[in-house]
Amino acid sequence: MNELSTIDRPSELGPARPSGEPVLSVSKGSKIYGGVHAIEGVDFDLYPGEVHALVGENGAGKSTLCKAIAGAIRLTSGTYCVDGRPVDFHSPRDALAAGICMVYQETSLVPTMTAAQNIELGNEKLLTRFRTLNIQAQQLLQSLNFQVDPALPVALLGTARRQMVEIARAIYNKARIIIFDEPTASLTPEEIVHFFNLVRELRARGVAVIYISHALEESLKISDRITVLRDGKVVVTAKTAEMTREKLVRAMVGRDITQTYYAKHRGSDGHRHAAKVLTVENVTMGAVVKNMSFSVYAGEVVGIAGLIGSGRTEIAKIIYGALKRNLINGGMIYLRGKPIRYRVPKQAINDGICYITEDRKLNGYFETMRIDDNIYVSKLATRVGWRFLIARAVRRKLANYWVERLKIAALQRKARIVELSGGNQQKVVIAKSLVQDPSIIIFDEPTRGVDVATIPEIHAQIRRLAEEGKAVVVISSYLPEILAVSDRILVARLGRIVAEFAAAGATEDKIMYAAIH
Amino acid sequence: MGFLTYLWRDVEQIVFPNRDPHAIPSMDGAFSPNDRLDRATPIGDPLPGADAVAEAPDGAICISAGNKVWRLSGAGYQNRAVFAEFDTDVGALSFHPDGRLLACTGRGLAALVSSGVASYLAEAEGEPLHCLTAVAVAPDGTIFVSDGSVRHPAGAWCFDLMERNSLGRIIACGPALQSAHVLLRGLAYPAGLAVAADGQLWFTESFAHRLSRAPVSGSALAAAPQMMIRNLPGYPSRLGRSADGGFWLSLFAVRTHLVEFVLREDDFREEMMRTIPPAYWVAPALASGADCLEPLQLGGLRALGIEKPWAPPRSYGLVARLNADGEVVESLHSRVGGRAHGITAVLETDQGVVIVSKGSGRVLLQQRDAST
Amino acid sequence: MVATGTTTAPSKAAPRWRSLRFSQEQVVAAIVVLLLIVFSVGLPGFATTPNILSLIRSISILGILGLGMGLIVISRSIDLSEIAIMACPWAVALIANQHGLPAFWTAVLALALSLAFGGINGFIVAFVEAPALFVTLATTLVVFGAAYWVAPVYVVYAPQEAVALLFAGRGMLFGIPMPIIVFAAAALVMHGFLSRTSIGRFIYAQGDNPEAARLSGIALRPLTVLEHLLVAAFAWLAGLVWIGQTGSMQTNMVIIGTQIFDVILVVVLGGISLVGGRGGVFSVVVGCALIGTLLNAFTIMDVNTEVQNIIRGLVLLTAIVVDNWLHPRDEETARQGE
Repeated sequence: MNELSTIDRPSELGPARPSGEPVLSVSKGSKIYGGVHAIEGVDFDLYPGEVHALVGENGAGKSTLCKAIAGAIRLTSGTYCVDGRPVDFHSPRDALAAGICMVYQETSLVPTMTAAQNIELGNEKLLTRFRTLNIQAQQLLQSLNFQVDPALPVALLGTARRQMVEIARAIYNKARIIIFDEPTASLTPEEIVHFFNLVRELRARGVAVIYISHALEESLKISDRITVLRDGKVVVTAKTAEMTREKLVRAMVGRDITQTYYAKHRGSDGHRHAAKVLTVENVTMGAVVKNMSFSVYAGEVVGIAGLIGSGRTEIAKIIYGALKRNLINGGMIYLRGKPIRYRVPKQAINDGICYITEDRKLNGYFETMRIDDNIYVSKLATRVGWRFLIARAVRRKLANYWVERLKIAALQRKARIVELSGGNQQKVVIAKSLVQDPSIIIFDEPTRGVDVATIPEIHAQIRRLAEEGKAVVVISSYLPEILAVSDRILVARLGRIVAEFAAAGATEDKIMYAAIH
Repeated sequence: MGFLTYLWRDVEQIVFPNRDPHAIPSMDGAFSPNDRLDRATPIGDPLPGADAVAEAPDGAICISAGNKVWRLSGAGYQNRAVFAEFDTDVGALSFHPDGRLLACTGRGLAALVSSGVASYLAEAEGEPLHCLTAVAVAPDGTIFVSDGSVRHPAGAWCFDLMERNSLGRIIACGPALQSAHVLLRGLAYPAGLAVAADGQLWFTESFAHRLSRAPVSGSALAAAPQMMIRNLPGYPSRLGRSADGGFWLSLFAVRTHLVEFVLREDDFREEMMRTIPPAYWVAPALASGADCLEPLQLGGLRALGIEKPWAPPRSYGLVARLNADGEVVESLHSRVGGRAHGITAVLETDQGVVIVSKGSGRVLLQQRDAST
Repeated sequence: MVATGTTTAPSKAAPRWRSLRFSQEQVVAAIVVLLLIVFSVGLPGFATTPNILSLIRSISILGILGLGMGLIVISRSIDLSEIAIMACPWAVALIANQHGLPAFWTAVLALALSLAFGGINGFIVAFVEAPALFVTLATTLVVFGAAYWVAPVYVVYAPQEAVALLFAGRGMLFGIPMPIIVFAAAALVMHGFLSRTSIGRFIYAQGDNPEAARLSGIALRPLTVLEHLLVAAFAWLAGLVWIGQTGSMQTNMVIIGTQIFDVILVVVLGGISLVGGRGGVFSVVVGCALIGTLLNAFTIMDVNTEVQNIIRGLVLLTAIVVDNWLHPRDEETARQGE
């Protein structure tokens, strides 16, 4: 342990491989699920006081590797050493005893217990005085520079604070290796800054950090070294200073990706002859959506940006009939001037509105069905497409058309949807909605969990829909996406639309400012 | 009593879920915000109280400000002279085809022959005309004039809004101010009049936020009025004809949720009117920011030196151009933090579009070509 | 590959292997075949036409009930009142028949009552959104109580002269007992309905992912009511066969019998997962075949009831263990789809 050298490490100038003994090393690690390698021959090492970013597309094996390290799963083959001694973890408890702790995306705290109780969870003494507990927790939190009241139930804390509690718990358990799985996914930009400081703090204490993140920029910013995984294999491990975003993407995908940006010269004149298709007036639903107003015109893409919890998804679901706005003072929604209030999505679909879900696994596709059935069932659910007996010819035709149009890469049309990659699943979910022939299409996080290579393809499809004269709404927390596809950008904050930008005049800074202040 | 009002309002929404709540429409599409009004060129020094504008037969423009009527002429309207002076404040102006200037004054409609002698139309159907807001002349010489309210004078429009009156009238009279009669009554503060190319009379109702047109034959109503825009995001004021057969519509303020709320809360509003000076009411204003006692919504505060994009405006500058079908095709804005607020009149001339910002007491010239 | 050069990243670790694995119904079918061979060789008197026919006949009522239960389980719901709906409306109708109602109208009355109860179940589940498990458990008691109130006897005998009413249970057609034909016909109709009609696809969609089905524009509430009505209709059909076979209807089996568990056993055994959206008519058929074969063999071997119950339970446990082994519910594989 050379803690002293790691506290103030010259990160740019050091050797590619930090000196000293690795605190953790995996060599030739493989994990086989039912005959397929989730990870294969992975060599990975981690030094004390280093932040090691793991990047890769979905399914590249990042989570598998980290779960193996944290003891949640066991490697099929390969050796695994902590402090140079081979170990074999049977459960997360074993890993914890060795000082390895994983902070999951969905925090695993008990919401009804206080922060202090959560920190001590699993290590309770037979009798504990609350006061002592709180004082101990307070000392720990303060030593970490965390501003958390240990006596508050975790349910009352925000996401960032919960993460702090979780990290404090890891420190309390004498963790020397902390694994973060997508830690910034639900943080606001300010909280992300705070989180980065925290990671640096941990690094200064000599803790080794494994950092998994979708956002390449974050990985580049915070890490000392980066390992790129592709298809379960390590593509490259390099010092962060030697990496760029382009290099990372090339390593992740295996080829160059050019993100297309679209012409934005539409301005206000674009609306001059476009028809107002959808008008949302003062729509209110509980405390989530408050007095939201906006309109959507034919032939344009409206981007709705905003933080999580700003009511973006809810307003889409209200329009679609999946949620109901307040009966009294709930506002009005007009479809081509006609007031609408849907009880079920079926009515919205019959009126030509469709909503493409943000979580395709939860409520997007039917996992037991094949691609063609998934698409055809949606067609059958429309008024026009309904028929009593299934027409196989129609099913084949629809599947062929959409597979071609959206470039769904499936070995066969009849492949089951769970066998596809995230990007192709998303395309099927998009096809499921487009097959219903909508005139208003609401995309909610259209590229969440989609491989980097597929994102520009989906963006091109979104633009194509607008050019066909359809009204498109894109809800996304990923600002480059919003900027790339939208003609007009709305910013939601705390259930209201607080700003509107023409695409030409919008920047990430302006949008973020509006979304936060 | 208030409780019953609320209860009834809630029950009404459940029983008639599709009834138009007349909510504030969002400012998008043709109403997308911009800062074009702030970029327009001011004509000369400010004219405090500038209210209305009319084009003289010789190409000069006349601006009413206070109790004076100014005549602005020359390139860029840089030459300025007092054209007429009245004993009360002057509002809307219009030139009769025979050359007389028609001016709306506190004593009624004045027809000013060039010599400086005025004749007045002081009452119609037994009620005095002391709240004249707009005047328009048909090609046959018939004069139409709108009376905002039979209860309050023109300067007290805010009282009329807060009392939620619908006491406005539109009056027609002959070229010699004879045989005045009421065309329409029970309007919510008619504030703008224009005669379209096809002879129909277009008029705005400020406090109902709508624009309508009525077919007239001679000085009589030919048919019931037809609503052209049912719900505007602001309070429409005077109308001006545009060269392509459409109109320029000035909106002297935009609606905010707070004001709409106050207008719904009868008890609160009555108490506010009883106990607070009118300048500090929660009400739309032509100009704002000069007095620290003004009602201010938190969003209007600057954060980090930047005006919030969603800052609720107490005063605002807004001009919309309509096509001949009454559809809004473009708009000019002066947003929160801008200066050209409280637009009360727009006039399209050969030199451009003349915009009167009563809030800032300025007359602006918007070059037509540069704008589009 | 699809006609595009710019294919996205190749399908990940994607569980291609899943399709290579045997489905549960295939495994069960294989076990049935194995047992048939073993019993044919080892048990004298097993592999005879009359025995095989009686084997199938003995499971046809269970099979018809299983078809209805299978349908509702595919839609990620359950109907515990199926036995009650089979027994009680028929008991009431038979009482009416004893009072002079013609055979045809007896059947119609029973059908109407069955559908009414099914409709009530469906309405409460769909519109009140109460869990089907509790709703149908409660209606079981209501139906039984109501039937006993109208007909305060546990066994209602069918009039022996009403041949038309008893034909489905004891008649023969081309030398094949009618229950087998009824079961086969019902299975065929059901199979066509589930796999060839849009409503069948909707039922699978609902069972697979109700929220996704709702967002796809499928009207779930009418669909739920329809499913419960269909269960009631199958229960009615099973009741018709039952009357023919036994000449009576026993209402007390609703509360003392374990038949509802047999029905669920048959359905789950064949691979219709309680998670919904999986399995089909074939699952019910092989599930019935397994149970029928075992029971028949035990009867020939003269095994007593207690041992039979033990073995039935063991079969179910084995099925569950085998299913788990074949389809490991590992979090990692479950997430592989992402």
